[in-house]
Order: sequence, then structure tokens, then C-alpha cells
Amino acid sequence: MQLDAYDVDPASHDEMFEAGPLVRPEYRELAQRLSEMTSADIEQRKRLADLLLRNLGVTFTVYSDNAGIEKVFPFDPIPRLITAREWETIERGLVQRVQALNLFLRDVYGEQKILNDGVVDPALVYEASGFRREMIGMLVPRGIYTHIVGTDLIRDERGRFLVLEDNVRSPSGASYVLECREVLKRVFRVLFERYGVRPIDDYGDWLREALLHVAPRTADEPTIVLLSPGMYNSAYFEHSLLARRMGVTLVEGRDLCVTEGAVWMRTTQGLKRVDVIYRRIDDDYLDPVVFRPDSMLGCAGLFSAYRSGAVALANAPGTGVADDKAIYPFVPDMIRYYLDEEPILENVRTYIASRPSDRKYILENLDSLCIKQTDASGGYGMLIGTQSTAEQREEFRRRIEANPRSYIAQPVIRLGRHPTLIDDKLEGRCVDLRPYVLVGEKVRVIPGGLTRVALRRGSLVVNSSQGGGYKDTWVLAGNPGVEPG
Amino acid sequence: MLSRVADALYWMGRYLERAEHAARVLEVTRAILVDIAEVDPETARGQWQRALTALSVPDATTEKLLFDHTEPTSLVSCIAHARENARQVREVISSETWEHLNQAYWSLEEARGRGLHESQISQSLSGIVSASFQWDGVADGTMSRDEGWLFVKLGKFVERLDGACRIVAVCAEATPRAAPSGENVRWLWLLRCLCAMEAYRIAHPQRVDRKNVLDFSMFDRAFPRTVRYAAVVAADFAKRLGEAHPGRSQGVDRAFGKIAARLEYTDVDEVEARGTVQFLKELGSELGEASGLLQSSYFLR
Repeated sequence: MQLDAYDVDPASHDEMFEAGPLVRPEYRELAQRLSEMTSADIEQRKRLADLLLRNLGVTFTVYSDNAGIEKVFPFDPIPRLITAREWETIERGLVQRVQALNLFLRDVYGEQKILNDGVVDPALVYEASGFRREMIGMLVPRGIYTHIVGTDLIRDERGRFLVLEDNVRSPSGASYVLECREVLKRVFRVLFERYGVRPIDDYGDWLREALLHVAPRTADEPTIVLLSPGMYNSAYFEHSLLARRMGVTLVEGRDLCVTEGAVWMRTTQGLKRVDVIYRRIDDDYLDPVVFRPDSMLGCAGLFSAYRSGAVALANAPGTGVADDKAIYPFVPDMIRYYLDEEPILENVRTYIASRPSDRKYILENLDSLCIKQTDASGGYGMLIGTQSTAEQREEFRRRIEANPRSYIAQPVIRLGRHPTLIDDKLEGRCVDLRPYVLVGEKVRVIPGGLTRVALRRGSLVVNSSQGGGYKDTWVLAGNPGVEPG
Repeated sequence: MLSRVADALYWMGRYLERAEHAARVLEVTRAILVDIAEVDPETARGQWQRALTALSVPDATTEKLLFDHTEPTSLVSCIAHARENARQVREVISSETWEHLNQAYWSLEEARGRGLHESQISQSLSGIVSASFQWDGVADGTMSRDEGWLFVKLGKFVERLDGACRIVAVCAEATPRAAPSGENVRWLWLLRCLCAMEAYRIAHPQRVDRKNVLDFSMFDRAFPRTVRYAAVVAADFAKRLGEAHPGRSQGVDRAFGKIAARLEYTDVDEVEARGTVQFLKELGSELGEASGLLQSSYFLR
């Protein structure tokens, strides 16, 4: 496969090539290997990878007809490499950030010092769609609100990692990281061995430890369950995989009941007490008594059992206030406020439409900004000004003026690109990185993460719902090309 | 074990056994029809009808019975149901059992996508039979002999018992004006549908006739697809489940035990004298009651 034909975009950061264009030191081995392989070799490996993923059942469901069609997530076999030095910064930055986010949540639902001190505008907090007043004044186990965090990082034009958003409610994607690693180890075995890639197999154990950490103290041998909406949920594969990796029971709402103030699951031996619930359903569906009364996915009485401390929930309800896109701009301030440290990872410059001066700027610069709805995700509710039509901008102008709290804007960033297999050659495609942070006794980051790739040429949106695929992410134990000492 | 999980395991076992049985019956019937369709069209039609009745499926083409997702009794539906049940319980079955079943499903889907040629149909039918055999082996080799295993196996043998009762009953049914050649076709068909050609020849070397075949297919103790064998094994699994769940079984083991006992304490002459079809129907409805008890004891939520 010819790497010379690869088109390096000089205006954005390329993961494999630096100016010259030269192959970056850490990518040399991979580039060498790729150039030795024919297109047919690579195509064959790609097919093998897809087949393995399908047989493992790594699929998601598209509901285009009543049957529902299962598809394999588009997987790109070219791995993304991160050196030990780069990772060290990311890791420290994420640990710092997640600590601050947990302190913020504890504060917002507790003393509210940060609001009283005028660091964060209280209106933004109370109007956040993820804010749950039911959580006010409640002591959550060990003071941890968000146990599992998936933070989206991007590289700007200069190659710096920036935080694009925090996902502190119920981030998904870890299963793809785990399974695609298994597949890539088989597809690129030799290369993998040579590179000294840090293992990610501990994820299941770490997750289990993080959950055990909040088990009510009365339980001798705590029972952990993973609460899923069921097999027709598009992320069901992930729920099933994580339950297996942890060795815990996967339950649906209909398997649970609340009596005598505790949560139980219905087994063939009768009722069995549940101590910790890793819930993969949204706040609104957790308990029809407290939240949405029409929910069939949760369990009536669950929230009161939680409030009384009979059961632990991870993540806690109400964490959505911390990853609201209008709260995100304050995270660097939170880090300074709670930890008295400077942020290690920077944010993307963000304008909050509910601030009059920012709003004015946004409305004057719709064609150069990226507009996002504060409580949307998955690449929905978004306008990329540079790629928009006059009509779309007019539509967003109306929406922002009608409901400024729901919008923020950021400069359009030329996302970093990574060589990606398109048909039978490599082309640059935009990527991001979602590492997973687990908060238990310690805060730990699994070395790796989900590298999502926008498969459509020129697209800046990496979400799977918008034609995105993913790659394996290899965090290297060393720094290739750097002389030791 | 979660009640929902036990339920899914039981039905995974049932659907796989159902798919295997139906695939074999269709395959055997097609093979026989190739021989006689031209020379004896009436026997051929009767045989086809008998196959459909034995499987409780509507009168449709083999393609439809094999590949039609909208037909709830089709083979592809059975395999899809087995897979859906397996997908719900992946954390309690080995990954090998899941992957094997998943692959069988995708092979069938691929065959469906390639179109409905004769060779495709034959291959898919024998593919289902061998996928089920292999699945048994994978499951035997990789699953703990725990509660979950008992539910899978009970499902398998309940389905086998049900299928055996139905197929023996359609053969025992008297048909007016049946030509002697048709009689012979019928009993050979039954033996082949039970994979029992060789076993039968050993047990009854003399000849293939009504009484001997009925005796073998209902009462043989050693062959694993006879009515008695399936009933005795199902009763044993039900008993072991009852022992593992003191106080929960509400007589499930007793209900299955009664079915096995009815087969233990009678023989072909007695049954033929009273009416074999009637006897098998009664067994079928007792099996229905036992399954209902199983449902209310272990699966109801």
C-alpha cells in the first residue's frame, strides 16, 4: 500500500504525519508495515475484523422496519497511537477534571458555595435539563456522584488536546474499546507485539471495584447488578458485555421490585437483595413514582430506597447538570475553585447564548461558529456555521432568540485527522478520543479509549448516529523516537 | 438465577430443538418426495401433509417454511428466537455457545440473501441440523452443570418429547385406502425423521411394520429420540430442578414424573388396543400442563 499518495492536510493536525510530510516517530513501525502490505492484504484483514465483530455480536440495531436490522459498527482497522508522554498529560488532566466535577455536583446538591460565591450563575444550574431537585440535600454514598465518565477530547490545529465535552451521566462505548482490541490483536498480531501497547483488560475489574466502593456498608457480600432497558436498546450489546466482564447480573426493570425499603431481584430461588445498581437507563426512567410516571423501564420505589441508603446507584441521578453544555465553560473555573490548581487540559472557547454579550456575538457570527444545543448529544441539534446554508442559520437564529438558555457556540475547530482505510487506500479523516475515567477509592483512567472517526470526507461529526466509525486506540508504554535519558 | 434468565434459557433450548427437528423432517420429506412424486403422487401428497401436521405449520412452500421471517413457525424464526433468547443471557452462557448460535443465524441469513435455489434450501436444512448438533457439543463442553444448564436441557427435552408425540401420532392415524407401498413409506419416513434407521434395524431386525415401529418410536429405552426416552430425561431434569429449589417447584417434578411413568407402565399392545392417537394426545396435553406449572413455579414474575 502506497503511503506517498496520502493527502496530508497542512491546515489540521495529522496523527501520523508531521510537516514535511514526515511520518511521526511513533507511527514509523506502523507505516512501514502498511507499506509492505498490498491493498488485498489489508482488505482481507478488514474483512476478517468485520466478521469477528459480527460473530462476537458487536452490533447495534437500526429500526428501519419492524424486524430491526442489526449492523456492525463501522470499524477502521488502522490503529491510533498515543505516546506515553501524551497519555501522561491526558491522564492527569482527566483525573483533575473528574475530581472537580464530582466536587461541583456535591456542592450544587449540597451547600451551593460555588453559586453563592458567584463563580457559576445559579440560573444556568437550575435551568439545566439534567438538574434534579430531588437530589438536593441527599448524601450520596462516599460523596461520589459520577463514577464512570467518558470525556471527549479533540486536537486543535496545533495538536493540543482540548476537552470538547464531558459525559458524566451514562457514557457508552467502553465495550467497543474492549472488543475491538481483541479483534485487532488477532488481525495485527505481530505489529501489536512490537509496539508494547498498554493493556485495557482491567476495565471490568476496575468498574466492579468502583461499584463495590459505594456498596452500603451493611452488605457483607454486596450484590451488584447492571440495569439495562433490555435487548432492544441500541447499546444492549455493551450492557451485556460489561455485565459479563464484571461477572454481575444484568437486570431489567421488570426483574426488580422494592419492598421493605430495599431493592430485590426476582430469581428462581425467590427474591434476592440488590446492593449496587450500575444503571444504564436515564434519570427520567429510573422510578415512575418520582420521575416519568409512564416509564416501564425502571422500578417503582427505587428512588426512595436510594435516598434511604438501602441501595447505591451509579451514576447518581442528577449528574446531567455537570455535563450540560452551558455549564461546561465553567469547568476550568471549578478546577481553580475546588482544587486550587490550574487546568491541565483546556476547554474549547465557548459562548453562552443566555449571556447578552455572548448572544450578540453568536448571532453576528453564525456562519463561522459551531452552535450546539445544551442538552443534546449524538451530533443532533447542531449547526456547523461554515458548512451551513442561509436557511439553516436563519432557523438557528430563531431558535436561539426564542430560547437562549438552550444554546452555546464554539469556534469551528479543524479537528485532528488520522489515516483511515477508505475503499482500498488511506485518506485523512477527523477523529476525536473518548477515554473512560472510573471513580472508586482512586480515580483511574483506562489506558486507551474510543477513537471515533468521521468516515464521511470533510465531516467534523464523529458520532455513530451521523456516519461515524471507530478505531482501536493504542497507548504506548514508551515514547518511540525519543532517546532515553 | 433471575427468573427472566431461566425463562430465556429454557426457550433457547426449546427453539433450537424445534428448529433441528423441523429441519430434519423437511429434509427427509423432500428426499422421499423426490423418489415418489412422479410414480405415486397421491402418497407423495399425503406424506407432505403428514409432515406439515407433524410440525404444526401451515401449508406453505419449503422456502417459506425455511426463510420467511414473517412466518412465526419458520425455521429462520425459530433460530432467530433461539438467538434472541441467548442474547438476553450472554452473561450466563459461555461465549462459545453464543458465538456458535450467532454464526448459525448469520449463515442462514446469508443463504436467504443468496436466493432460493434448490441447493441453497437443502444446504440450509442440513446446515441447521448440524449447527444444532454442534451447538449441543459446544454447550456440553463449555457450560457449568448448574441451574441454567438444567433449564436449557429441560427445554430441549420437553420440545423433543412434544415433537416425538406429534410425529408418531400423525403416523399412527389410520388413513383409508392406503396402498401397502404408502404404508411402508410412512414408517420409513418416521424412522428417518427420528434419525433411527440403524437403531431400529438393530432392535427389530425382522421388518418395518406398524406395530414394531410404534413400539420402537414410543417405548425404546435406549434410543435418545423416542417418546419414552425424552419423557424420562425431561422428568429427571425436572426432578433435579426441584431439588435445587426446595419449596419452589409446586409439583413440576411430579407432573413430568407422571408422564414418564405412564410410558413406563404400559406397552404397545395395550396402547394400540385403547387407541394410540388418543394416548399420544393425552400425553401432549399433560405435557402442556407440566410446562404451565414450570412457568408458574420458576418464570412468573
